[in-house]
Amino acid sequence: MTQVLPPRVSAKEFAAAIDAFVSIVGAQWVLTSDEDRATYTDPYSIGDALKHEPSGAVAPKSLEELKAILKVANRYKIPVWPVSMGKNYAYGGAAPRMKGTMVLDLKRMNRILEINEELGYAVVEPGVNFFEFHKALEDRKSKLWMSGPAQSWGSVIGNALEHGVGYTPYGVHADMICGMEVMLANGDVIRTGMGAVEGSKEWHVYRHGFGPVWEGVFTQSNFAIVTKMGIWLMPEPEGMASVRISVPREEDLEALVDTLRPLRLNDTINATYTIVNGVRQIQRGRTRDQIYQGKDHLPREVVAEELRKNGDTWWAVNFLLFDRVAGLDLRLQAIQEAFKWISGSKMTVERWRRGEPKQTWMRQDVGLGPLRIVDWYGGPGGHTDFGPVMAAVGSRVREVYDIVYRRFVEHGIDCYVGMFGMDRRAIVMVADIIYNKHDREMTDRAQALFKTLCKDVAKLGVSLYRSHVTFMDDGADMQTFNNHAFKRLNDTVKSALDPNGILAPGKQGIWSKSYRRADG
Amino acid sequence: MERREFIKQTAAIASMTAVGAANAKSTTEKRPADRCLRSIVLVDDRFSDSRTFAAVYAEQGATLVSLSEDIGRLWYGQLGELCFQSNIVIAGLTLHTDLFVSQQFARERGKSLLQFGVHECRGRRTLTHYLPAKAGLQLSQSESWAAEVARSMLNSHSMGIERVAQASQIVRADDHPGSLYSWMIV
Repeated sequence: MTQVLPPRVSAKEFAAAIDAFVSIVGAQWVLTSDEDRATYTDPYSIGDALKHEPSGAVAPKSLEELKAILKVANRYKIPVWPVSMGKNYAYGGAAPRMKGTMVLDLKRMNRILEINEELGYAVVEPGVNFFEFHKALEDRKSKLWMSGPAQSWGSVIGNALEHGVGYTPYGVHADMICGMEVMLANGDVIRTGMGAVEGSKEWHVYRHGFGPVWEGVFTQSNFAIVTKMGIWLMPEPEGMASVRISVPREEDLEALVDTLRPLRLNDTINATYTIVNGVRQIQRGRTRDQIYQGKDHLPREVVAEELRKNGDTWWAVNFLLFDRVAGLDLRLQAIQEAFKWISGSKMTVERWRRGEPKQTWMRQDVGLGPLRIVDWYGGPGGHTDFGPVMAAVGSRVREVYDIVYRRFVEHGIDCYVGMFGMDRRAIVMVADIIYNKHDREMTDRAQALFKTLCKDVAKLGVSLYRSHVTFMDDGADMQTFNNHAFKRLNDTVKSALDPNGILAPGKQGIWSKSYRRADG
Repeated sequence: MERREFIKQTAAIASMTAVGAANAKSTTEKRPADRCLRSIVLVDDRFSDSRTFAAVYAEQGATLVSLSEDIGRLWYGQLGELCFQSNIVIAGLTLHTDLFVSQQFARERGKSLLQFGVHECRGRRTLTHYLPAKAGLQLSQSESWAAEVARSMLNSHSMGIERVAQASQIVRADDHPGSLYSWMIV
């Protein structure tokens, strides 16, 4: 058995820490063998997965065990990387940013503590995934709907903390967080918002209590460990419609964005929309080899021909509408009117009303189907996503997309893009960088592409919505205002809340005095 | 959730090596040598080779499960329940993701990958097979290679995952996706 140690921790100290962890959770929940460590590496690794290899993992069952683990971690200076399900594969899965960090696996803390039908919220622990959550709602015949992401085996809490997206009016999951319980590095347990009051009945119904709103601070950060979370759930709607609008020409992107913006701003479109480019549309469950065998980026003419064969066009936008029947009629009419000015645009609609069987397009089911995109190049595949955030203005989106597309072509990787109008005023572009993970030359190209794009869009004042662990420092480096003042603030908070820097070193580019990026 | 294996649902397939890698690790995992094994075969109906592979298993009484249903829902439903039984073998000739997902769910249930092969024709008209070295299988130059692989798996007891390459003159099926993976989880 080989041993991986955290930076500046001796084998003797590490052994003592492991013994202490075993005494807290039992030997079966402390995992340090070669095989154990391998299970926590990134299955979609973009290059050498061992650059993010943990020293092991420890899995508490309760707050008490978690507190005791942190006490030991502080004593021996063992860095820990909290994960809930560890399934955010395009972003590193369970793998830590810094090699040698110990994974703090919270999967055993998996209770659904409350589903409140009257007020429309649930309270969950980190180890609750979307499959289980969906089943719990179904089992109790709940009239509340979950807003799920594309892949359902991830954690409800983890997804919200990482700013995940769904396709209902509750689709900005971080905005649906109401009331957290967190444990600080010193073991202190805090309840945010109204939860700061002993016996509060408003903890999960009101977000802006007396004093600062801390929930956002604990998302995409390493300031504390979230142990419970309230999340708002949507009441079952009276009706729904699925809308797909296609626009024919590649240059129609600006018109498409500028037409969608007012409709999203005034809530006519009342859920996340997804704009998909031609490369993404032509996949249709096929591998690349079934379409094109060249080594270069898919030529435009190949994409155009595939689109033509399938009756598709360069851009399409998909979204769901939620309203009673009469309301849906009005919304659809307004949308149709708005798109008339884009010549050649086509709109298709499907509808559902309460009481009818649910349809696949409603995205109310759970599943893992979208994982298959990594089979694009044949596999074993992986992908990471370049995710710039853009104002929902056609010229801005065009400016960023053109750079992204050009760089993908230059790096010989197909530009597979979806743009998510999750917020009313902004669009998150998700440009999937898909690769064969065992093709070293290709993963090198994929890494170079990501880093090049960071530099390109930073010049435009654009930042990212998240990143793979490999690129967290690149993402943080883009936050340049006032000589990286945002980073200084984060570092100051980190030092105050976690003086030994044991929680998730390097997460989102936030380090500490104990560890520097050179360690990782 | 009292089982150590549950933690491993985070698992990567770290031991799975690159196609044709010379330094592939071998394993000593063995298939239970009884004749009561019940096989479940995942079949991707889009690919004729996958259907051929499954048909051989079906002749031996295997249960076929179509991948037209979402792989995650399958594992959280009937497939996941069945897999808790000790005498279940799960096999398939599929895209890599279906193997990857199946391996992860199977691991939670105490099962692991016994063998896999790769059947490649990316960018070419003919196939190259990367097969378990211990199987000693020499595929004939016929279009029924998927059936031969299935029959070999049905009779295998100890394979390891070290593989050897076999180039062939077999022309790929029109619907071959470029890479297919034959695999068996026990």
